[in-house]
Amino acid sequence: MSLIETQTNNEEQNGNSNSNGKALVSSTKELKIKEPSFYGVLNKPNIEFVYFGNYKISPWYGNAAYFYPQDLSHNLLGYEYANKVALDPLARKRNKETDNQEINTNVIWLENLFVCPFCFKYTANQHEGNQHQVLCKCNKYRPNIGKLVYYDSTSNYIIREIRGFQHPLYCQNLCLFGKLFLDDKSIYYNIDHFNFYVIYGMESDKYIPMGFFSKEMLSYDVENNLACICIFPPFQRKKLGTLLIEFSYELAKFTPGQYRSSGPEFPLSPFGQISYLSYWSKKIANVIYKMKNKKSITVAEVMKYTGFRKEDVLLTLENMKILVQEDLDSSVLLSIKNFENWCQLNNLDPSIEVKYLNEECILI
Amino acid sequence: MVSPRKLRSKDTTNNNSTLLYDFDNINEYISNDKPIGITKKASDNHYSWFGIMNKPLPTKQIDIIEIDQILPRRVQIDPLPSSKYEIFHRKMRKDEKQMINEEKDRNFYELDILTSELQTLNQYNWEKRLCQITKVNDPRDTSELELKKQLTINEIEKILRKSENWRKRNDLFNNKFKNYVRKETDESDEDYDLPLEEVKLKRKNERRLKYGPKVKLNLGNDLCLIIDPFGIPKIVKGHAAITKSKTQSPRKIVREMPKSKPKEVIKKEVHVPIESFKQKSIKLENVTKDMKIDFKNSGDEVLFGTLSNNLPTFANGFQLPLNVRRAKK
Ligand SMILES: [Zn+2]
Repeated sequence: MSLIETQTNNEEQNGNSNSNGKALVSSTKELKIKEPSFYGVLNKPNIEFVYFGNYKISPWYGNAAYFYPQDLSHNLLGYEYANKVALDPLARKRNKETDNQEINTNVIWLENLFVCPFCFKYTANQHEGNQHQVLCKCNKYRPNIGKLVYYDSTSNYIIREIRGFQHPLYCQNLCLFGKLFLDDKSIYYNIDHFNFYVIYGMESDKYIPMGFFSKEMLSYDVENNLACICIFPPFQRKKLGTLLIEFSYELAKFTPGQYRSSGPEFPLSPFGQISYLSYWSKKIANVIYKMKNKKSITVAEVMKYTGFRKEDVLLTLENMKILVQEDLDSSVLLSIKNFENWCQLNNLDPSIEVKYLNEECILI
Repeated sequence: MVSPRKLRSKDTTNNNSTLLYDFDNINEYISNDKPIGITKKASDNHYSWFGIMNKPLPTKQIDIIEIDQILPRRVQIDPLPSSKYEIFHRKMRKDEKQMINEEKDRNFYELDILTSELQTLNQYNWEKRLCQITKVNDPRDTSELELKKQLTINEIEKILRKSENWRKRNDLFNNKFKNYVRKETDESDEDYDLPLEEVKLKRKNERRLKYGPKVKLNLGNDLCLIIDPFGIPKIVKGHAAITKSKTQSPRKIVREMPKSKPKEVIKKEVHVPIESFKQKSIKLENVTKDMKIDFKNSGDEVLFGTLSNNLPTFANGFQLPLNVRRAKK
């Protein structure tokens, strides 16, 4: 989920690779283990409540990146502290000399953070936040930042592509806000190389941002089609995460290097993993249904039909518990009976391909 | 950028902590496309490679309260202009950059190590070094040694290629980024009011400008080479007539091969894989008459006789190899 740091152990887990290293394989296995402690990451939420439009939300995770690293009192948001010091350069020096800087050991650094529900600018002052919203340039019936890449005027969903280097402040503020609900994001400010895909839905007669995913345009691994994904808590359970996942695969079809197969950057957060496994399973179920009368299938064939990386395909098949093996030395088989059981258990008719996007509305 | 050096095998059966590669324990279904037979029988002996993940989800109470926002009616000045965040965000960006650069330096260092490993493997005492970095079961077995040497070299070369590819993309991107002029607009997006089909067409044209068009090259004999920036280059039959399509590019991108004598390269055996050819990368320019090329791509990076990464298409058209262009004149 994080943007840059996480791949310490999975750089070679390319689906199309012909490489034969155990490192490749074992690293894929280890994708599931997370590397802890990145900057900006705290053990507990340090902001008590965040106000976002009509919602007051308790953040899930802490975010130190809203604050000035050298200001241990955490009395002010980072930009307030920086502006104060810029106006009175001696203030910081005074603090250092007298060593009287109050160190805030409380878990909560800030009680209320007000985030603009249109452009993600933030403030600790509610009045300022409200005033800003009235004049906010992004406060429009339909968003106009970035490029329209999905427009479903029946279900009222819009996806816009916003490029980091074109709209740095918007994207930085989006990342900072997203961190409140993501545990392992670690790039908030150097976002030039990332595209952000923000999904807007209708609420109170206006399209407002409900979540996003980011895509690294210069990923070391050309097959990474998604760096991090986040649906803001008030809008969860609308299947927007799955919709964005499907969109990321559509986007991959038009990304050089990703036409064959692609997938999310590892490691996935526990929530991310559940969403992906559920999505992959449903898509793969349809492929298996179509191939069930064949004598055998290969992981590569499933990759070809779905665009999923081979590792993701095998992981999903394994997770569906439809691959069976008499003993450790015998060949692996796909059990159609197990497959039917899985479909029944998950209430899925595999003859129908599940679609979350309205294909007509894709404007990539 | 990511560490180019691979994670050391955590295999407990092997205590050699400097081992980078273990080629004995690969997944046949992923790496070698081993077929998975289909059976009608049910079974509870589930195959497990990754191990089923039943990690408990962190409990997150969804603590959301709906509130009624009361916004002021009239506001003169925005109390949160973008300039307010400038100093702080610039500082944080700089700090973060430093962190990223340190990571990059580490990776470059590791690439250096890999390059020197590669050199060592090509020297006379390579056996000793090989056993230090790759899992070898019997150091006296020369055939195992030779095989593992080749596998290790392939693996290292792949990583080096990948990093080279990243570097190239990085340069391209940074150029674009440097030349970008920021413009902000307050106007509504006209795309909302266009018919979807029209927006789609617009996107297609934007894409063509950005990545270059799909190039069709008439090879004669009713064969046509298609190079698509989003697909694998392929040869198709019966498409030769379409090559003069008007929608190809702003400029004429299809330069037909001399009609009288099509290049021998293709002939009829386009689907005959020649292993030795696939192993090394050969530039299109260096293709000779009697070579046979496997156009049916089988999954590695060598495509169409050249590295797929070296096959960019540009907005101003596809350039034929130099010797072909000269020959035409
Ligand atoms: Zn705003």
